[in-house]
Amino acid sequence: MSKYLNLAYKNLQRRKIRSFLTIGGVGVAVAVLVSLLGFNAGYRIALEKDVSGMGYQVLVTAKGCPYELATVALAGTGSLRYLTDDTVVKIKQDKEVSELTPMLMNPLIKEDGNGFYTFWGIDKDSYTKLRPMVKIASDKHKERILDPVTGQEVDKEIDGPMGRWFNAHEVKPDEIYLKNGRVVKGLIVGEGEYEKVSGQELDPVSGEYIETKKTFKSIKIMLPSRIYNKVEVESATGVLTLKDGSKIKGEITKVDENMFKIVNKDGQGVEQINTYYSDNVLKVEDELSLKDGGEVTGVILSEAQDIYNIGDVELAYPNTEEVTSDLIETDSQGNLKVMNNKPDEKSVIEVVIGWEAAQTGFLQVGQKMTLKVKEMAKEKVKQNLTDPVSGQEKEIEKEIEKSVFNAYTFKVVGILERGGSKDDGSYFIQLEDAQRIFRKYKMLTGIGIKLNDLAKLPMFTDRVYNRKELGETQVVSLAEVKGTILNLVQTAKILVMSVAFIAIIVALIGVMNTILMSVFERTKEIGIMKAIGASRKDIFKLIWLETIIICALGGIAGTFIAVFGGTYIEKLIRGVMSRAGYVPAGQIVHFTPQIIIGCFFGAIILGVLSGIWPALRAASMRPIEAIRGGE
Amino acid sequence: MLNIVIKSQGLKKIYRLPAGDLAALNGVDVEIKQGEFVAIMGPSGSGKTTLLDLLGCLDEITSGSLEIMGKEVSEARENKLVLIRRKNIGFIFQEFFLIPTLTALENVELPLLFDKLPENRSRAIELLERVGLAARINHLPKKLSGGEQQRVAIARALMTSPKILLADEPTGNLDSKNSKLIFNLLRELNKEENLTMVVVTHNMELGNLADRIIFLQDGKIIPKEESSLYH
Repeated sequence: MSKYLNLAYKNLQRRKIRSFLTIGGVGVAVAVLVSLLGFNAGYRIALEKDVSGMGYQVLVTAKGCPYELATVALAGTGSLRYLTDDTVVKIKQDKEVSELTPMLMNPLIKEDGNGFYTFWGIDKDSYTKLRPMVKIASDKHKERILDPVTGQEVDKEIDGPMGRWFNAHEVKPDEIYLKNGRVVKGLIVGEGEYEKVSGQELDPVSGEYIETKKTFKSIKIMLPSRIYNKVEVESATGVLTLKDGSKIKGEITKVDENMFKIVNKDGQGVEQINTYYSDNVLKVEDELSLKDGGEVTGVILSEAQDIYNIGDVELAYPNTEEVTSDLIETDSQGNLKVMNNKPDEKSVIEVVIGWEAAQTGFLQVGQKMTLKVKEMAKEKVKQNLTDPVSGQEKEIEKEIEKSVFNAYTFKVVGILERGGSKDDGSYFIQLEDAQRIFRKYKMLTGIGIKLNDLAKLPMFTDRVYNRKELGETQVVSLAEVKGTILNLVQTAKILVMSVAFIAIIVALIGVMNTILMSVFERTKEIGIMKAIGASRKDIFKLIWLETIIICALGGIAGTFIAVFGGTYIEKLIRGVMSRAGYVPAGQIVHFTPQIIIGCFFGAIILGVLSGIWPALRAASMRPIEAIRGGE
Repeated sequence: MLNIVIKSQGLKKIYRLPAGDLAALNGVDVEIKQGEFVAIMGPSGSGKTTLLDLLGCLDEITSGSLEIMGKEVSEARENKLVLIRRKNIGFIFQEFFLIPTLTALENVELPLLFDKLPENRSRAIELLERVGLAARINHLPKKLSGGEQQRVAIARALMTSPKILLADEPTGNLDSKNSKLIFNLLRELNKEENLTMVVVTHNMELGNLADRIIFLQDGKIIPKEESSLYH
């Protein structure tokens, strides 16, 4: 056998470049196959690790496409849709819910545009209860502390917990006090100007009444608000809540600092007027009675001929509304009465960061961290435009979106234990802080839920969908998420596997071609071997062996390429996949001995198969024709 | 003892061609005794090479009978012929046909590989020494002259100790000096080893060194006087 090997090997050496290229072709095909199988095995493991590391079994999100939801569920990226804070309260009422935790995920695009800082606004208590695996690490580490003697910041070596969770603290909404006694609560996001109808005037020329408009200064505030068509509304009324809890409905006006006046009708339809001291009044709101029997309580921000725009309502998506200065109460100096509870410059938001985030950012407990990020912002620009009719130059205002670079500063108060999941690269802050600094007032990306009995998930899902007031929500179980992602990946995998299959077919044809060519080139040689005693079997064996050698060498080369290039392949796949959405955090290309041995033997089988035909051709050459053929 | 090693009767080889049947051999009767040195001569297309191929079991017989070492081979097919060939017959060709990737020694050893015989390097070296190539055993064919290559081919043909050596124009590609040397070598081997030698040649001078000449014309044996070679 070794003599045959020697002979076959020498034959392959005869055309070094050709043999090398053929081996290369087989190698590439094998490398692709090994990588794909490695990916196949690794991806599933990584995904399962991610899913089981979630802690909660069910996620409620805003309605969207299932793939997007899967992406949001596991990685938090994708185009985000939001739920409102009130959904938490409503869902909590469901009898099947054991624990739940609201979350706001906000990706911040890095300044260089290369990736994200993934921020999670969480409710620490409920979050850590549902996800006990997310915990503060404990190890020897350095912390930056304030030296009580010198008053200087120093690094101190500590063996123990790496910091702590952020302290829970109250985050107050901003408030705008209206002249009619109502208070609008939300997140003040800016100031502007607003044009509003201020009255009617008789046009002396046409004799018709025309509306006069006036521009007011406005405060832009983000709050949950809705627009109701007047046709849907039965009646609108004011509601005054006294400190003892009793409510009085009617037309409410604020007489002065100390007094409210309510006009309503008693049982007999007789108009009654009552007054209340402000000291006894808890709050003043508006209420819309809807024709379908529902009631909406909030603050009417504006009323037009056919609509009410009502803010501070439940289960409404937060919008930015403009409250004009003519509606806002002023103090004796004429200043608008507005409470902006923006945290002052000195108070830095506390952040708990994942292990990897700490490593890559060289961050330690007690350090301040400033993240430079790219954000989109709307900006009003003035443009000069020449009117085509009059030829006069006119100044117009246009709102454009442009990217701006912002910096966020946090104080690292804790570092999490390494978990091998997405959490390792994440940043955790208090939910309300996240809602405020990322301008997502009362918004959530999802609610993680643990049910009392997971088997009752279908009933729970039905109930959520049947509650209209929850709006456009979607219930996803993580088992489904896993299925969805595996489905999605499956589709891609089938495609890629077909490519690999084609690569193998091409390699097979290539090998066959090479060997056939060398067989034809050596016709006389084969004839002479037959003349000196080689049987069909001998020739078959020799040519077959050559093919198998080529494929075995290709197999070895391919396996080497795949295994030693594994990190690059991993990076490549990760890069491609992260463009599409979610990639599990763990190693996604995982080579098992079975895969490597399997592919190596696969290459040999490739050789066995592609060698049969050329070997048969060579073996069946008649010695006389082979020898005399060329003469 | 003068054994008959090759015996044919009415040996025919007909090639079926699109243009019609072509009888390359049309009933040839030969008897060759052990130790005989026979030359086959004849003009081009007379069937010399075909006859040699049939005697050497390289090709299947159309009709007639052929006995090699007393065994009837006319009915044998390729897979049977190879065994007879292996055991009894050595070949040398006009173009030498050495395997270019193998050294002289490896080329000489090659038949053993196919015969599944144990390695016998000393015999291979001995044979190379016998043909006068002791100094060149590790040379690749391309480093050898034509005459040297043919000598390697002869050593290779002798490796399995055949009874019969068939040579197809063994000197056709050699100059006259080398031709003589090769022919003398074959003659010596014939004498010393009692090797039966059948040589196809165009060269009358060399043919005359043989014990006997078989003249062929149009696929048949003819008497010496009728051969066109004498006209």
